[in-house]
Amino acid sequence: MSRAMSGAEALRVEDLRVYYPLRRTLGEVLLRRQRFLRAVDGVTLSIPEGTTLALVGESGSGKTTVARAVVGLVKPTGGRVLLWGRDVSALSDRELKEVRRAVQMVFQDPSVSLNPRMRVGDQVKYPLDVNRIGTPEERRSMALEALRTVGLTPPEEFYSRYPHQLSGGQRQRVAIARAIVLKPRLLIADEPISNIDVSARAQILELLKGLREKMGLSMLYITHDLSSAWVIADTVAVMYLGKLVEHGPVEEVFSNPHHPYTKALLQAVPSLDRREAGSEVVRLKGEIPDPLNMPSGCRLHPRCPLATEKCMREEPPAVKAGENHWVYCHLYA
Amino acid sequence: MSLLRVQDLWVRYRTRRGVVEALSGVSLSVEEGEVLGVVGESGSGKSTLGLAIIRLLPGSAEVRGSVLLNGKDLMSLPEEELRRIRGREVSMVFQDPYSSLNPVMRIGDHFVELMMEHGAAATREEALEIAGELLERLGVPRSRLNDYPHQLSGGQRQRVAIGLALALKPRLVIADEITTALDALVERQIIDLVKEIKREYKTSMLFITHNMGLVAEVADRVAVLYAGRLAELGEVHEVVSNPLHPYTEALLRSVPRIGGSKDLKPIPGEPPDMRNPPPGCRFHPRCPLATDRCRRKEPPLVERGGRLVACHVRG
Repeated sequence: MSRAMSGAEALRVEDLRVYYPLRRTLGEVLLRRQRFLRAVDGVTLSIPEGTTLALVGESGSGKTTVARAVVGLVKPTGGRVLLWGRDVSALSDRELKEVRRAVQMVFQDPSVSLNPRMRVGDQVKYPLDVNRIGTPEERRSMALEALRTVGLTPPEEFYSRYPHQLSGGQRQRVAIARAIVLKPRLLIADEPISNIDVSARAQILELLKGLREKMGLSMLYITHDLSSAWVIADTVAVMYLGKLVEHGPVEEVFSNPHHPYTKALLQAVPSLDRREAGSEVVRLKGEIPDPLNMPSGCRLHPRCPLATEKCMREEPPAVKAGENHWVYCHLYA
Repeated sequence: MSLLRVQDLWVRYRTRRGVVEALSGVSLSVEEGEVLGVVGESGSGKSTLGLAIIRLLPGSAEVRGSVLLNGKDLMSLPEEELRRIRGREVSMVFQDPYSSLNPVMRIGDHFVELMMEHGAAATREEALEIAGELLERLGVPRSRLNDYPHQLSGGQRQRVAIGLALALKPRLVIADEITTALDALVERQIIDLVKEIKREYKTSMLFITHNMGLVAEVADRVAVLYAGRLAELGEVHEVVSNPLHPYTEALLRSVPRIGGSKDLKPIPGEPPDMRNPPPGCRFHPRCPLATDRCRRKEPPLVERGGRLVACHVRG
């Protein structure tokens, strides 16, 4: 890896838990019981400064909830979020504001995250207004600079346009410009290419990679699309029903996947290349279960063709599968 | 004779902000038992093509050209005749299974209504029997016939929609982005199912998608659409391994492939505004090979080694 990896961590998530309380039935009220939806259930992740982690999984895996907990949009039920080594729950309001400014987010759907009635330049400038950075003239020129950086040139022309006058790819560029205008050090991109056209996807991926080099960004890249994770990430973490199932360097995990879920996900990707015959095929049964009825033991066991009795009873331990490569599966224990 | 022959099809939409040229003279055919993939981005006209064939375009659409299904011109049929043909000779599956499902009707009743209207079953019981068997073959338990659409998972709903499209054993099924809204593993199940249908039922299909990899897996031939025109058409593995049209080539290079290069080569620029498409070849503003001729004159579709391509440089 060419990028510098100092020992420092931009982000560390330790044993993160996010439980949502469910509405109680009358019986539960009377019995004073409370059930929870365990959206994220004990996730530990680390993003060394200057690197990109892809968090992959299907809908309902909890990957977006991890991101929301990192930026403070949801309060963790348990565990810790550390940004540059500092536990965010232990920071004063002022310190927290400082740290949060260094973490910015890009959302999946730019047509939702942008204000349709506001000129795009003003939207890019908005975070500067809120944080009272520089004079009005300086803010405007910083917003123009951000538009230029994301490839919306000439920026003066784009500044006064409205979102509906732009293509999906251009709108996502605006959202990225708004995220980088405060010069963050950690960018969280939640499915940034899922809702845009095929030819714009490659443009946005290359843009994000370029920004990372130029600004020295660390990145949490959230996706269900494994091939985009392949081109952008250094490390990959695979989630299923609120838990990690496997994580490690992207080349290592994708070329030598261990967990049946990772294997199935990789094999699910429609491929341009004809598959070689005879390779081991893992197909999972059914669909992701209702998270309110979380399976016991390994959460994949009802769908896993290789599940044993132990998988139904016990949670799988972390097993070392290679250098920095970990898998949570009884098969390897 | 081809099962489906689309000839010189033009579709424009009148909108408040101007006339959109959705399809400009597209011709293609689907042979008996063949899956023809149709690949394009939004605005390419691929969904318009599917809807035009089965004549479900909105009233604001102006259509010219002919669509021959089994020699019968669907464009000139009266609505009554069309209703008889839809479902029976040609049917359609959409991205959102709710497009073919009524939320307040049990799954079984969808089949009963369809089959009895078309005389495919004499009684309710017979229709439910056939439907149950079909659903089981598509991987949905028979007991689901008693459920309402919302009680099913997303994957099961799409299987039911596919079942409804197959129920009257049509000669042609039009599938429009049928896996796009699904999660990766469910998408894989549906892709496997489509392959199985192709093997077992030998149903001809027009398989519309934005995903080249998907087409490579399920289609025999592929038609690549760009900005309402056919850019290239040929045997799918030939097109994928040796694209002729610069757009096809650029599209393939811009798609990330696991194990492949990490440096993507995005197609520069933006797709054209279809209210005002560029003159000449519609891809010329984004094409690295564009010449003066490309900017002025529309390239004709010519045959090259068993393939059709519309390009002045490569044609």
